[in-house]
Amino acid sequence: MNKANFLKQVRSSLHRNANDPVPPAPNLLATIKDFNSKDLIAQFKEEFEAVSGRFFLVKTKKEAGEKALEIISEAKAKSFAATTDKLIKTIINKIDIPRADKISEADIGISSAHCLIANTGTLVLESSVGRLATLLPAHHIAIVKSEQLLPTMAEAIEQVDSLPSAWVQATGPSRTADIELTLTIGVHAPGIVDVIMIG
Amino acid sequence: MRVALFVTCLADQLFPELGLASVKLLRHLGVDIEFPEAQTCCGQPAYNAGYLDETKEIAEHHIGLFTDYDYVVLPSGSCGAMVKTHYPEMFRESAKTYEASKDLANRTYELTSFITEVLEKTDIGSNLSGKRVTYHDSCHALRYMNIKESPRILLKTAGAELIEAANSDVCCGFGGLFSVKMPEISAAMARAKTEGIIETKADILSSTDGGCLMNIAGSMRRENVDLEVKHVVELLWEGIEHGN
Amino acid sequence: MEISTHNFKDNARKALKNENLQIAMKRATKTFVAKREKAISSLDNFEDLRNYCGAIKAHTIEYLDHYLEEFIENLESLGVQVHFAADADEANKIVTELALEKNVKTVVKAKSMVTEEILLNDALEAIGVETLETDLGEYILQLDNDFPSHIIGPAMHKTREQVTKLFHQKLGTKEDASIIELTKAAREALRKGFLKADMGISGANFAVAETGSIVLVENEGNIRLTTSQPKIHLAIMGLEKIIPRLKDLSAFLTILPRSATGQKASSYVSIITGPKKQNDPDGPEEQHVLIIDNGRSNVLADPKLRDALRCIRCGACLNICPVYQNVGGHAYGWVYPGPIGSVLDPGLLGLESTHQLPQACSLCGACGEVCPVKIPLPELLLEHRQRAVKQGLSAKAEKAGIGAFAFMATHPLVWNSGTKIARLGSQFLSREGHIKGNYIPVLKEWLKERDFKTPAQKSFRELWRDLKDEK
Repeated sequence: MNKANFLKQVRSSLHRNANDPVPPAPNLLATIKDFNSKDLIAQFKEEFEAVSGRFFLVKTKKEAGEKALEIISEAKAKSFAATTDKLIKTIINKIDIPRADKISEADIGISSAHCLIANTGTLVLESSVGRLATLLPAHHIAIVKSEQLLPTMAEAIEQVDSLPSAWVQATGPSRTADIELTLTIGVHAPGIVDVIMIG
Repeated sequence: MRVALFVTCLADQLFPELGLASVKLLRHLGVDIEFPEAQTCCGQPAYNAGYLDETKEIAEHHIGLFTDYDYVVLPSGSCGAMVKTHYPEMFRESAKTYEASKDLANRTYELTSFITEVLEKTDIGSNLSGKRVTYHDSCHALRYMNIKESPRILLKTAGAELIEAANSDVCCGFGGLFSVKMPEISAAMARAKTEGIIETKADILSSTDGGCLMNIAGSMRRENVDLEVKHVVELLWEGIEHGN
Repeated sequence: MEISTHNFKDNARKALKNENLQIAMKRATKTFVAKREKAISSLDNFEDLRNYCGAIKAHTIEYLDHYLEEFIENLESLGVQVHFAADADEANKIVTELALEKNVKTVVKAKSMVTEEILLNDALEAIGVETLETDLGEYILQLDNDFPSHIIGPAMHKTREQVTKLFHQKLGTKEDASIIELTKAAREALRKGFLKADMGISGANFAVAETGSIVLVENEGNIRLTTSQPKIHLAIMGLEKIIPRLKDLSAFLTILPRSATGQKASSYVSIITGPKKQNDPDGPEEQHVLIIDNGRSNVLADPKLRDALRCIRCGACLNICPVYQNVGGHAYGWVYPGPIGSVLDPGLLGLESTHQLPQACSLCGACGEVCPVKIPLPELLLEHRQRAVKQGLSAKAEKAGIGAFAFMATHPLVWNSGTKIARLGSQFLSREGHIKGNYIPVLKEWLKERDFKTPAQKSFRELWRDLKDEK
């Protein structure tokens, strides 16, 4: 079926003609807020840890780099992958394990984030810096700044200028409860997610 | 004020003791209750089965019987919901009957709500101390008439110990004709309900709806579960007649 | 999956006797209901959200042609190829032709109810395309040649023991493998599929008209992989998935995970807007969107039923429905079970083959209370019952019975004498104060699994004669 006929079918079901007027869509009267606290860092930490994320607060970029190296060493990772995020460029140069040839073979994926959502403990990852580095490895480390925190999804969406090809709101490690409702962490996407926040 | 009793077809035919308790309880509270004898049924069985025309006939008959009364009181949430919610909905297209149905809807009260909201009483001189009761919220009473507190307040004020079942607001499976059109599912729902009731370790199951109680009691007896099942109006009256 | 909506009663009876199913269903629905309750109670504006989401969906449906047009325009300006299918056959033809054109050998699939509706996997397999379900629940069902019983947890009807045995047989895991080991085995098997797949097929939870975005909600990460790794991404959606603006998403994404699984947020929400941009390091080179009708325009044309198209597929109505809790999803005989299935299936398949479904309901009203977009489910179930009567689909005996009942109820003298005869007659069937009557129509249905107390000899109205003079 072509577009014209498809739309025609929909119009005829609604007894409407092309270019018939459309009133404005309803707007929410009250704002959608959910536990909006003033301390966004504390709120992010609470929500992120509640979904089994690991949270580390550091004061400087140098400390962030050190923390990242610590985590990588503890994890006994053999290779890493990374996004093209500017914030992690210098940190990556100091990593002593090799960069994997194929992202699918990397043990750890390192990125920053586009922004963070405090009330759900969410990282917003977008595709212009690369999708697969935060998706294929079993362990994901995100190095972010506290200035990137926003209270709720509403604010995150509000400040979107033009959408990337993929805008992903990632809340904690991957999980499933498909087998008898027993929660299992770590399915197809990373099972361990660490956030190192400079703030 | 003139108050009429709408006894409901189930109570009239299957559990008249509920009708008796209703009359005696209301008289005890100073209400000169009348009983228009031409009443039969509110039409809900036909309505729920999708027979709108037949339901409208029955509804028109029902509406005509109660024009002279200030209040119509009934010991049932589901029949009450039928009159208060569905009668006006059904007659939206017929202006005159719509007005009459809205008028009747405004004057119709489930019995425990009548006591708490119109008579404005919570202490009715009933003594149920020592009675361990769990209360079942009938679906129509709860979701269509917002009846949740009035029976509980009356029971508590009478001194009954009220123990909530985890599934107190889950359907018992009666659903009128549903109970005989899909009897296996209906009975499975009644058994699930019974599990929750047994867990409370209460001695008495009560509710505003005789249909629900008939369904649960029938299932319990078949499963050899021994628990007293009593309509909240009968229970409250018992607390007046024998409690003091 | 063969449609058996016309066989609901038999299906239900079998389901009630299936012990494994009963155990699985009770546990699953109880858990989902409790989780949802907790997640909703942590919001202080749930009713506002419901009202808003319901209003947005109602508005969009009312002007769906406009928003569809906007959506398509935006898709096209992003370089997305848009396809249209009137029905399942056409949809499958489009997909298989695309697969052949692009030399697709392996497809990875995200969970999508609309693809179950059109039986897409069968069509792809018929042309030799390996089609891998990547959602764990769907993967389990694919291994077992089974079909989904719930919108959110498709393998809800399976016990852990059943899954362990299945994986041992098909994947060679240990006989006593833990759930973690089973999940790991699925991850490894599917990872191979993700890396070699030529095309990833997803559904769409929402489609944003304003931006031409497809929004996908998940916990496992399989959808991110399905839409990021293969060269081609195909999103298949029913025409009713549209919402007007990007900002509307925050309301829907607040209410959907809480209603579905009791989560504040699903692990991943992907807002996909076109294929990879020129400088993106990775991502699909091509994006296609296939918009399907398959009976939806009929539902759209029905002013009462059209509200059912608001559905955001959260599954809350299934979980809260005591009938669904007892019989599970397969009994409903098609892709959409529970209250939404009983409302939607007659619209998509016709009432003649589905009229048992709206009867599978005690009209308790719980479904209407939990629907996050305020679909008037109880009213629509009743509407279908009224239509079934008008279309002559009800049993003749029932129609005659209701007719007789209506006559009696409007003629008090007949009511009095008729009921008196019935009550006196019942005394003959009375044993120990209860009725024995396994051959009497209607009554025998009650008596299958419950007792029935013998009616009192005197009705209330007879007793009133004595009462009325006492004061």
